[in-house]
Amino acid sequence: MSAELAVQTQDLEMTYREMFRKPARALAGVSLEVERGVIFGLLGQNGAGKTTLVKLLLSLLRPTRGTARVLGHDPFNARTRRRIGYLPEQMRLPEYMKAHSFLRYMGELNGVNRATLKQRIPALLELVGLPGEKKVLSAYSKGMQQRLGLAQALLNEPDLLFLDEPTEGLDPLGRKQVRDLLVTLRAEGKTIFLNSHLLSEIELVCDRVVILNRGAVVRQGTRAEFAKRTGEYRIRLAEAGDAVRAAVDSVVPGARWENSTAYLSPANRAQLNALIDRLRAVPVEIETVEPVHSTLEEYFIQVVTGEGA
Amino acid sequence: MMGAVTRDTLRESINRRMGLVLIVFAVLVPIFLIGMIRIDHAADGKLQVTMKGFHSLPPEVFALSTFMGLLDVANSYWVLLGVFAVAPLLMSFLEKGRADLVISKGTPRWQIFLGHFIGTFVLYTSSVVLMAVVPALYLWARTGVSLRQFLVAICISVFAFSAMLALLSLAAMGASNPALPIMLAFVFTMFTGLLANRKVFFYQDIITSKWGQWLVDWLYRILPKTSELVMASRKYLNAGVVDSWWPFWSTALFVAGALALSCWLMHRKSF
Repeated sequence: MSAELAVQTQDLEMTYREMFRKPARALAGVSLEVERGVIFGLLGQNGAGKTTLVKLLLSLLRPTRGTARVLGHDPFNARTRRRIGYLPEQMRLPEYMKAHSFLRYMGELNGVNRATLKQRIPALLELVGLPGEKKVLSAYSKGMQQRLGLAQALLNEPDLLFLDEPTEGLDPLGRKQVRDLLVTLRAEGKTIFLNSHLLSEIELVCDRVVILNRGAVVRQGTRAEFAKRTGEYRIRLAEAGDAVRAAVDSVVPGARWENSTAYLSPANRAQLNALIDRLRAVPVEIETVEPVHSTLEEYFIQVVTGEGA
Repeated sequence: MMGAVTRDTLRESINRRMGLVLIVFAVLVPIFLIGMIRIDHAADGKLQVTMKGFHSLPPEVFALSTFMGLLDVANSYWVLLGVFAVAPLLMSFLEKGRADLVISKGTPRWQIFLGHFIGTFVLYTSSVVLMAVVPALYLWARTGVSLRQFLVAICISVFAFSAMLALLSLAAMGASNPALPIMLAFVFTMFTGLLANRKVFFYQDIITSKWGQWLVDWLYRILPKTSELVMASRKYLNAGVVDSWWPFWSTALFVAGALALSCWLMHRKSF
């Protein structure tokens, strides 16, 4: 187990056992490594085991088998947890508190001294867009609760941040603010473990992505590896009359048309160039020629439905 | 960090009303009591205390009966009120969504557990002080009667409650809501008196087999002796003596054991 890694798991297994119920296996031997200073995205369908994995890494659950290390240590070590921030998916704030007293309590639980908290709390409330908020937490909207949850996760200036659906309940501007914040934190050398079902969010900020399916890692790689080329090209033309369509079909048959844009899969680059020459000869004005990349969402759906296997 | 948990427990008790109700009742008792008594000098110059609707009594006699009444309230109704007030507090941090926030922080679990235990104990003790000790202090200040035996008796009563609290805490580790620990506390309150007098209640007709009696004997030895502590507190108030230290040290052992077991269960618990 390396101390250089932010998170490392080996054959991590988790089976929930309850009286009078069949055992339910949530994780089936998950092994993964997360380097420090990256934004790591964890993807999976509902029930794939994402939250279970995060809870194991935070010592909220005990694994049935396997080992987990965070920041080079056992997550059950309280000192290690003081270097971790966590925004849970299902968060129940103490409704009788106000933002300031809640953050002070959370900070004290993480061993942050009072003088530091006095400085950090107003700054964090400002950062998450809740400056001078005096309402009791029971009066907070879902979005405000989420912002406050984010503030408590950042209170101890963690080296490793676990965020479980951090943009849940936030408006588009709030989502953008969270994304910008994550990028800033990464620039400061923090590691962020992002658990989200919003694939567009993950696509925008994550350096590395892991896809969990039925408790097992089915794919892992960089964002660029996931957004790979499909072999398809998009050719945008000024017009797509019968002559143009016939010209395209004569070189690369089977093109798909959307108005004056053609989607086609040439056998090789020479065939693509031949097509461009043929189109110029028609003549028709070519606006753009670009390879089509699959989105993370498309890739994810392929993986979890088995189409990409 | 344990101090932060204790403070939060007290704050929660006030904000969630149960602690507030306990404190309000505790304040009403001395207000009512002090408002009902008149302390003045009789024709012979001696001090006398009169309660509205009753005959005047010498301060020593009045104080002893008042202290006994307060002690009985502390040993009965107050324990029941206390159980209702503290059980939800002992479990609130285990609620889904709340536990994720608290347990994932850098405070060891045993400290979080003990912080809540101490918080609830402080809440209960404060309410007993307000309810029983404040009127006693008033009587002492106005008449000069000795408080020592009463204060020791109240301490015994609070100690008996700490055993109940330890039992509630232990039950809370395995329960999903406060109903089970509360029911257990009530059953235990009834059962502890029966266990103390097991030879009369059980051994003559109900449990006649040797192994059955052996089992009940051990149950008695292990469980806290709250009914005997209640009797000991009354005896101490009346006579200033303790007949046997057995209920004290065996109950203290139970409290220590129950807390240690609860800490271990808390450490092993999944959230």
